[in-house]
Amino acid sequence: MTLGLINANPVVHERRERLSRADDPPHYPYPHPHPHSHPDDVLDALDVFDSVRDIRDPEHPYSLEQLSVLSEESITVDEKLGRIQITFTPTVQHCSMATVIGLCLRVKLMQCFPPHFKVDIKVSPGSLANEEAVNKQLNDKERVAAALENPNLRQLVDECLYSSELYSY
Amino acid sequence: MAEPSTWVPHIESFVDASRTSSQHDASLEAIATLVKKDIVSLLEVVREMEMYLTTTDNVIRSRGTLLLGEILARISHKTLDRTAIDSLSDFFISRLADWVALRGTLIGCHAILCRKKEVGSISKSDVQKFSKVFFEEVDVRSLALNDRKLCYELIICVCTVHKEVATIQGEDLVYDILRSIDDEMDPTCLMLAFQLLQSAISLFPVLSDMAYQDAFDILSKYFPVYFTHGDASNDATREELSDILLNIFCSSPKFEPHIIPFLLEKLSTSFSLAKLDSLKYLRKCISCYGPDTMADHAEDLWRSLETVIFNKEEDRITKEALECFETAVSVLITPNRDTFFGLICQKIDSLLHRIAPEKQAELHALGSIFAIISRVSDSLCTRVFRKYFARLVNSLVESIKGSLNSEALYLVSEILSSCRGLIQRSPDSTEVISEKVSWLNILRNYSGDLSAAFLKLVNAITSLKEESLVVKQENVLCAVKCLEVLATFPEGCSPITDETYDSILKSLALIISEMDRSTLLWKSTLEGLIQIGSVAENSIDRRRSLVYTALVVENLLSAFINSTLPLDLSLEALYGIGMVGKHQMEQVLQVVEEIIVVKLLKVCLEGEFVQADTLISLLQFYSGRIISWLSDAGDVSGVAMQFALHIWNQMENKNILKNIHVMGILDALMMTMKHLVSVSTINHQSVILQKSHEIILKSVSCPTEWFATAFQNPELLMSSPSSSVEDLNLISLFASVITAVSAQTPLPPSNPNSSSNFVSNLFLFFFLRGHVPAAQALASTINKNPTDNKAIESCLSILSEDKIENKQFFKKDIITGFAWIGKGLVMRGDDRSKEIIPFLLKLVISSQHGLDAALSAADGFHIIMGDSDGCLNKKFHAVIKPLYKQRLYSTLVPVLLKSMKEANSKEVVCRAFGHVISDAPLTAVIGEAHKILLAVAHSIITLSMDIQNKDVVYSLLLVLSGILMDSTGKESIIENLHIVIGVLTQLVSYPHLMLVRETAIQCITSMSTLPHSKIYPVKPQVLKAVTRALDDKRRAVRQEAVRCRQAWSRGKN
Repeated sequence: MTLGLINANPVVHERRERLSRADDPPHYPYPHPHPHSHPDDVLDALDVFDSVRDIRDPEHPYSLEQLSVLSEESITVDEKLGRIQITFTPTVQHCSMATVIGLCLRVKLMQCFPPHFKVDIKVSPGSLANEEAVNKQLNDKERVAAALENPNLRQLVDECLYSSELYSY
Repeated sequence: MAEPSTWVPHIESFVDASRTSSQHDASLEAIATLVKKDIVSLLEVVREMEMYLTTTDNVIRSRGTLLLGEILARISHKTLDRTAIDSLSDFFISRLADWVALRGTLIGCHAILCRKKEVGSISKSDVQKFSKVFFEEVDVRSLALNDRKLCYELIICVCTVHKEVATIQGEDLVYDILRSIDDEMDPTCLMLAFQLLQSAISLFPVLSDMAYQDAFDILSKYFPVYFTHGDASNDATREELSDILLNIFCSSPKFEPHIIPFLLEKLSTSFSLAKLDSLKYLRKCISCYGPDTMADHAEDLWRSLETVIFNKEEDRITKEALECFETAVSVLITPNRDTFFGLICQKIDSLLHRIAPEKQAELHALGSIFAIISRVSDSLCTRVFRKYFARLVNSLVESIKGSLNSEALYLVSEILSSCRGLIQRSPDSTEVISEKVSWLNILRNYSGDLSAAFLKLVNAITSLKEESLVVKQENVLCAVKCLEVLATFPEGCSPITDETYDSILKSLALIISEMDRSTLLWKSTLEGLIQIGSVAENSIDRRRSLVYTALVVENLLSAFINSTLPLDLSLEALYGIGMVGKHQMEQVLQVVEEIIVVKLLKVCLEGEFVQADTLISLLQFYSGRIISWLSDAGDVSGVAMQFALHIWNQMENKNILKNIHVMGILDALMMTMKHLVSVSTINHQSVILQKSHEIILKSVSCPTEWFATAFQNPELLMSSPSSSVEDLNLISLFASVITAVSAQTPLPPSNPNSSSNFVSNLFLFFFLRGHVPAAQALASTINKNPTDNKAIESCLSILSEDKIENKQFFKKDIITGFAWIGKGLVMRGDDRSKEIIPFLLKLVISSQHGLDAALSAADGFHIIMGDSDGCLNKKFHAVIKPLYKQRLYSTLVPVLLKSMKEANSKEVVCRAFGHVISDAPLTAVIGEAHKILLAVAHSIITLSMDIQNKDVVYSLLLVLSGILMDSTGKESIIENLHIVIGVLTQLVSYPHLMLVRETAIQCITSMSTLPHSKIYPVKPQVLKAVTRALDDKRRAVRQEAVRCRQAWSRGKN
């Protein structure tokens, strides 16, 4: 049986211009003139967003950013307490891909940020029919681990994370 | 002739399928050589082989045929007689039907068909017979890859070498070929198949319509050329295949009814490669087929292009579409064909009515269309002007009074820059254009209103009265651009009056001098002014050049003098304007010189130390930019000498001398002096030298007799009172003159009677009192005057046994000085450097004179091996022997390696080693990677303990990464993998320098590509270290760590 796409015709949004950080210190040529003059670069929402914006949607060759599943505003970071919270909005109410998207986000964050951060991944309130079930599933360590043991699921996640087949314009 | 028994075994060995392929090759080569050298005749070989060629055993027969074919291929330059050729070709042609032995047959046929006339070639009737039998018997499509390749090469040979025979066969040949290449999928074969078809089609001036139709049906399946399995391993790239396919289509206009509708259809797909290739093909086809053939497609073509241009597409597609449009405009619009232009006008008309600020994309597309039509030809430009220009100008001028019509402004600016390009391109004189072309006349009619409107916009941003109109910066930018265009028309066809020209210059100069921030507007205005200046400078009419000087150059100079602008902007503007021409730069130079002297007096005499930074920037600007520009542009010597003398004149004032070293002024002044001297001619250098020498004699306070004997009596040297500040400043400045003079300039003697040793003695004296600039000057003299043995000997005598014990000589500055002198000697390849290098080495290894002395000696190696901006370089006329660094490197490294284990202070040895390794040319280091790798690793670990060594650690890490990037270096890395990874993982958390952490992680990332079997044992260690780096304080390091982790955790396969 062939299933149709869950959202066959998603709305595609423009990608936002990559912000080059204005406060990024230039790379000083050798020798370094002021070794201790830089304040530390604190981990912020843009860092997190930069690492997840290019994850490909499981159904379409568009990034999560292009489909407006994620935005910088939907991410909060508290460096002192070591918490990252991501809220994402699936494209349709009955999207069964929400768990896969959540799983992709979790894997990507595990790869990009130190293990002491506690990551909460949620769907935005009211955007999904079975919101609570999905939230519970995404933040349950053992269920996540079990899901990643499943080779089919793992392959799907890897494709989303490492795919470069994005439509760009 | 050789006995059969000597060579027949070769045949047997080749035919025997159980032998290895290398044995086969060897026996083939052996027989071929025998035949080539006439030791065995071909006839004999064939006779011996008869059994193998005719047997019913398939394997042996195919080996036998292959042998004969291969032998023939190897004797293509050997003359064969007619009978031999005929019988061979008969044989091979008859064998085409034998599919089991086909490989050998194909090779044999190829060898015969390709033979040159001089050495006996195949007869025409045989070629004809071959081609008939080939297409009847050989089904190319069912063959294996290599055989197909051979087949294509064969037919290419027929179509190119035997053209006359191929032509006789007519269209049938084309059909036969088409049948053979149908459904070919392998890129390399496809490349040959395309070449084959191209040469076949080119044989016939015209074919039947049906043939083109069929060829197109087969070829169109390949469009767009696209590989599903990556194109790295193929001989033929996608671009090459795509190009040759395009060439086939362009080879005859008969393809037009098929290809053009096909391409237009492909253009409407969503596959971007198809779009891109369609546009490329269309462009080429339009220009190859010409206006008559393409006329029928004008409407469809425009509709398709319109869709691409006005819809938002990828940048490269839009760019290709506009290029295609430009070709279409230049080909399709002719005096008697107007459809295409009519269609464009329809679109423009419909858009002009409803263009709105929110539709930026549409506006830009429209702008590009205007720009393209107006730049294609004079006549089209005139039509655009007649039809639209007046309308746009009127609505622009109207809107200036109320709310600005920025769309009209943008479109006008596009048209203007295109038509200026048109007039700059036309080679013939301007009168012809103005007579013939009326667009210029139309422009002249409107130029008054137009420039008034632009000027009003531009002035609105500088005027203090805010009443007039609120302008956006992008509109002003556009207006500035338009004004620049109007003012840069070539002389004789300028559309504007002289008065307008003057007011344009005034307004633009005002923007530069009034706006005090470096914005985009400021920069593009400056660029515009530079453009206008260059055009004025190159025109014969001097009026504009004079006006430019008066209104722009002088205006900016006075703004600079009154410092109404921030200094950096002011200098940038002055440099830009100066680049217009030599005259302008000299004007700038003069003013900058005056200001430098004024500021110097203010700082040193009046104590206005706040001005010191300005003075330093001015000096750097003067020597680094103005003088270098002028010396590139031509003779600058006279000017440079004048200013150098001027500076020396100031030094006669004791009060200036006393304060000149504050806040780094002296360093900047010395650098300027070096530049001034280095660009002067030898005569001018002598004048400067004379002047400075006089002042030294007059002003130095300690008695000159001391200089001559100082080095012989260290006690006296040390006990005499320390030199005054004025003396030291003066010596520094004099040292900078000596450092930069060329080798041919004679040094001044103190008086006519004494020898020329005065200068050396003077510097020796101050050097031994720890004045580094004096040491540099001395090193420079030693480097340039090899005959001046006395100076060198005096220096070296200090190092001799009895004096060296004096503790006073082990001060930091004196050791540094010796390093400089060593550098001077090493650079010219002088053997006497052998006395200084061991001196330094001993200090480093034994550390007997304390740690400070040892460290200074270690840093001395950085001086000797490194490049310096301020002394002993090519610019300051040093004598440099090629490869001196390599020589020194190979003498120093063994000693340092040996002493690394036994030295008292290992850290110091490692530091010296680090300097030597990182300053040596990387190729020399990589060549010895296996010898030094462990020492490099060891040094990094030793040095990373102390923050003082962080720069050396970084340079050593760069050397390590250089080794890692090299293929031979990689082998050494693999041999010592555990150690290297150990070092790098330790550096991942190096606390003192971010660059070290970042580079270490980058090195680890690139190591993930080493063979998996080697690196898997260290993987846990690497992942652990890199995971720690995910929590680094700096973002750049964190990002590198993520990349590295990904590379290592995915590198399983």
